[in-house]
Amino acid sequence: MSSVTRRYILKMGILTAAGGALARPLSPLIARAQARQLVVCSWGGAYQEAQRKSMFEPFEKETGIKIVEASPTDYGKLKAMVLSGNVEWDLVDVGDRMVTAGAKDGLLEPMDYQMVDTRDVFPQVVQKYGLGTIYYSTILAYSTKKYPSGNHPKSWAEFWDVKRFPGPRTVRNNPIDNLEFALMADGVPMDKIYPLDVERAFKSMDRVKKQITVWWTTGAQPAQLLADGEVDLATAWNGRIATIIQQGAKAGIEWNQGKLQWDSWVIPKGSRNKDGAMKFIAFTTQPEIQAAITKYIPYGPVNKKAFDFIDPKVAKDLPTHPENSKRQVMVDTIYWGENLTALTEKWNAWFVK
Amino acid sequence: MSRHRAAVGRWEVRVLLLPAVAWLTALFLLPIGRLFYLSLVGPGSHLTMAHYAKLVTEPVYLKILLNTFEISLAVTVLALLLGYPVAFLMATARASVAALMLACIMLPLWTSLLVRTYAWMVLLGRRGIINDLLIGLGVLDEPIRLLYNRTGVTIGMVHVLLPFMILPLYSVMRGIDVELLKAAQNLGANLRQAFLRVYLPLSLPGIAAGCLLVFVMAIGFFVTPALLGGRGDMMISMLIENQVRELLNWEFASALAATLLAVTAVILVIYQRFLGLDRMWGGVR
Amino acid sequence: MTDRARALRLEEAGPLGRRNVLLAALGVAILAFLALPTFVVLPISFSAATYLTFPPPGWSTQWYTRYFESREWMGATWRSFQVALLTMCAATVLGTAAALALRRQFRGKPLVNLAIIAPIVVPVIITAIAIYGLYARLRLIGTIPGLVMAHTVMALPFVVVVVGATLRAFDETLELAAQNLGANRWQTFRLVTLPLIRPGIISAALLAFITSFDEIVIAIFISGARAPTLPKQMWDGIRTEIDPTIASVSSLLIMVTTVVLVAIALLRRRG
Repeated sequence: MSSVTRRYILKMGILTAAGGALARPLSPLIARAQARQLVVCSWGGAYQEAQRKSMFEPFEKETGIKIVEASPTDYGKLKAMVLSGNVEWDLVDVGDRMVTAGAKDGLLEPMDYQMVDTRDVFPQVVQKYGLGTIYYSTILAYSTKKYPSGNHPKSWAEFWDVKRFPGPRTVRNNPIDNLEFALMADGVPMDKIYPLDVERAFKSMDRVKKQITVWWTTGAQPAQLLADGEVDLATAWNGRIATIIQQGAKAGIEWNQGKLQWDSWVIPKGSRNKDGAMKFIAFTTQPEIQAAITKYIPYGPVNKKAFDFIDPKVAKDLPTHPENSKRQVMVDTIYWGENLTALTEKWNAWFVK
Repeated sequence: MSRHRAAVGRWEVRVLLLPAVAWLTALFLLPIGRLFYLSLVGPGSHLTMAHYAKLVTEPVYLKILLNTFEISLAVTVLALLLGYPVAFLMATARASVAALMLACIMLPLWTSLLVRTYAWMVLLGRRGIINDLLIGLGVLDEPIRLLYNRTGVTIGMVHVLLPFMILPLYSVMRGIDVELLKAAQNLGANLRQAFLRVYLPLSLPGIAAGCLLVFVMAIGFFVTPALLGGRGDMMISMLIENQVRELLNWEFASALAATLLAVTAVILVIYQRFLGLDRMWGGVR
Repeated sequence: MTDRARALRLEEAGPLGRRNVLLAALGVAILAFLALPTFVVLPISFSAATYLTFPPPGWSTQWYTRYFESREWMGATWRSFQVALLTMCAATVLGTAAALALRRQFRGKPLVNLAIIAPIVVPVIITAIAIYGLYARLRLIGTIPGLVMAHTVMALPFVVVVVGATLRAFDETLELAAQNLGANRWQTFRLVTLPLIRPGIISAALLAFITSFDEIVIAIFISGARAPTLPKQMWDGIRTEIDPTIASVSSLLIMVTTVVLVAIALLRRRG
């Protein structure tokens, strides 16, 4: 063996050994570091920023646990993580249906209600595998540049009417924020929406499919598209639209026939910091924290006592304000929990046709 | 003495190559091999062609293959039409001008793909610069849809792939003596004849190289169509991503990947057979 | 017109005669199409509006401030630097060694050649899901070593090609001469070969760095929630944020790219 090769092999060997030797003493340090940090996945954009200011930062200050943010929440990704054992998120902000669906699919840890005071929380959102955090609505949003004097579509039938209201539109690439609206556009009254007549809903979607310019996948998109003038009409989450209106965009919210739903905190099975996650949930269920987020984004609290801390002017814009909620349909979370996977598959197949 | 040196040389070659080859085997060849395996295996671990059958029998997936092919073809043709004149100018210009032109081509090549695609999202929007300009100049009354459709994807992909058409063309054209054109004209041919019958045939290897290269890169594209395209512009790479990350359908995704790889391989074999793969690198640096 | 006069006229006007001007104009237009669009992000990054509008209503450096003050963005940037630096080292060492070995003929050389450039010719999405499948089982998702290993796969071929080209231009008789004068192989390499191919190695190293720094498709799959790289952060941002922070990051990246390109050009001039 020549001296060159001998030296080369020696060098490689030393480097490898050094690398290996370094890795081992670090593992307990890594474990301890993980307990002091909490990976929270939410929906990104203005909502997550509001959470950051009203929940994440105060929590970090009070407990010293560092919050590492991730986004956006995605049920498919969550499922993939849990099934493959690579759980990266310790705590996830999910839509209400994902609690039931996740429980059914065996993806979630049960809530430890010993650690959380839920006396004043609306019972609807206190579930075995998830606890509610905010109420929000999916509503019809419109460009006030295109429709300045209140002549915008005020119902889903009008949104579906491309002859009377032509122009680019965006809706979500997901059955969840579409099928109820499709049925309402077809004439189904709000109190008879559930259980969904799926065939009828998809036929109704077919009528408007080609007019949809963009199929959004993240909460920020419809707001951005409206603000940029890329579309004139959208389905969107009320808080995101309210945010851009506040920033000066020419957009408006139509509460009529909106869909009222909520977000919940869930802990994926195999989460690396279950304890920290429950501490966080307990922290954010307190009425003051629940009220704090409304300062940044108009999403309704799940804790009744929070209303004591909310300015009545702000309360007007919340989806749970009686003036707004009476015009909306409340989601049937059980229905969606059971049918989420099947309907998503059907939607994906329908989408590419 | 020489046999000893030869033996040492062989050993040295093995040692020098081993780390790279081992790395590629462990992290590239074997995992891709596993994909092939997955694509041929059904539940219960028996061999099956069911996943491939799914690809060709369901119209949904056939449409995506067709999309991929259409878009890639359009991009290749456009890149050729735009790239040929530029390559010609570069090949016939003074050295300093050619260097400047080369710099104009290299700059976007080295810029992040995401940055370039994002720039197009800004430019092509309904109230983006291009629409604003056209409306301002009076060419249009209403903004036209340039984004989230075939147009946007095509423009974006042509922009990214054009350098890969220009460079092979340039490297071939550099070897064509422009005096030949003049000679042909002196012999009585007009410009069009001189070009079509003298220059064009000589540049054919460059055209072939550029087209094959651009096409093969276009069919595997992911970022640009994902950000600039609409519902009808889904390409095979986006389908693969969707199957793996959302639907966890590894077997079908592997079949898709294997198909894409097979098409890529066939094209490259054609390339190698007639042009030689090292031509890809010729004159690029 | 006599033949001679026509020949002279052609001589002066260039190969295409008067059409030269049209052609030149076309060429300039196409080059502008290539080089200019990217720069649109620069004015956007200084926009005073909160969302994407053009022309910007006013000027402000708020998006740069937002970028530099954001823990997520800075973390992702730093992570990309780390990964790119480590990838550069690994790929340059492995690739240079391989390029040196590939000077010789040996059985199976075409196959090795193919294996080495394969990562460039195989569509990235395929490499990405293959590595993702592997990492999911090895728990390497979201780790820096995982990213470095994957990026080295992608950077390695570039290093081999660039150093290989440099070696082809390198006169091997110099090595023979050194050995004849009594140097052993390592000394020959260190004192004769290495200094002469150094510019090529540095170019290759820079290329490896940029390949890793800009890499997006593989990062989408394996960088995970805990370890997003800068491109992954941008990818998420393009789809989940509505503000032009992306534009400021993009502008900074363009400036860095330009600086690196100029550096390489200067290196070329010297080497």
